[in-house]
Amino acid sequence: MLSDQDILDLAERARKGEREALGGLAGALRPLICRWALVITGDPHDAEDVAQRVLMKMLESIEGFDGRSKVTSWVYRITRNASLDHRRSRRRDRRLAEKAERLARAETPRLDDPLDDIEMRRTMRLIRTLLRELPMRQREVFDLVDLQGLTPREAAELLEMNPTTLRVHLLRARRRMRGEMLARGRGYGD
Amino acid sequence: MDHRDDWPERILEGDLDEISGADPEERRSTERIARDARNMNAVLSAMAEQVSGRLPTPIHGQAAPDSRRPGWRWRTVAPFAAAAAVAALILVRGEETVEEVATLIPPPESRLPSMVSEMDVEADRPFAVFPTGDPDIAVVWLLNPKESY
Repeated sequence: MLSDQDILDLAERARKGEREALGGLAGALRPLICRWALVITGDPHDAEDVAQRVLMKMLESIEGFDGRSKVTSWVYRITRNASLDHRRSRRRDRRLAEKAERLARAETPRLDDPLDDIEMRRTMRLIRTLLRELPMRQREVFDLVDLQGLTPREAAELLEMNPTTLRVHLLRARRRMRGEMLARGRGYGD
Repeated sequence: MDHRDDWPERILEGDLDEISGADPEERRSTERIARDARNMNAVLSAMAEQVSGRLPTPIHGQAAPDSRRPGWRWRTVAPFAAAAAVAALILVRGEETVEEVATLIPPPESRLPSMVSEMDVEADRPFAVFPTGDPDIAVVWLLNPKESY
């Protein structure tokens, strides 16, 4: 992953019309965009549609990027708006249960360090809880801080959110997810 | 039974690195939470990679102009590709196969006139017979009985 400065340099060059820089920027941010879109939409197929739309939007509007916020915050905002538009346009909320089913049936991703069957089932169940049962803000914050390892301050900056508000979302999300982890942990004989 | 209310607030809501590891059960719990978080992160990253891998690659600094997902293209192109593959297979399978196909499908110049001029259709029969250029071969077209009346 490129540093913030590298990304900013690429964005600056892209803004001046360097096509290679534009491609480099899209390539560098693509995995992040997909991860954000996956967590915000809660569905791999929706995430694919959203990520593609975000890349197009980003490439189209790079000239309008004014540098007042971080590039990642700017792209996050585009991702979030695209996800909300997508959800509104498809009225996806009523299909949450269906999404969860699809996620349950989804092919298990290949990991560099594979989990055993029990751990994988447990992890998929926790991911379904995260994506299905937590409100969007809570799952965004939980993913950024507790899973991806950003500090609450960095996450607040990325989300352009008041740090106190972020903390409230984080505590609620942790309560839900950790309660689930610990309750189920006992069931698995920990 | 749901045990989540049994856990102290600091385990349920606190920052893991600030939670004391003195109590063995508390330590096990924080380790469990940390391991679950690592696993969730790994699986979500792998899922995001899969999504990313399905996106079209930006070409010369621009995303592919078609905003539809690649799967759509495959769904559209796949039947044609399959048909082309079958056709190619038939053609490369050798003389015998080509002859078989040629027997079933007469040359264009002879096919249509003979079918039109010599087809044997009667109003009260649920089938029609189309002779071909080969006297040993005829095509029988079964009609829906309800439609044949």
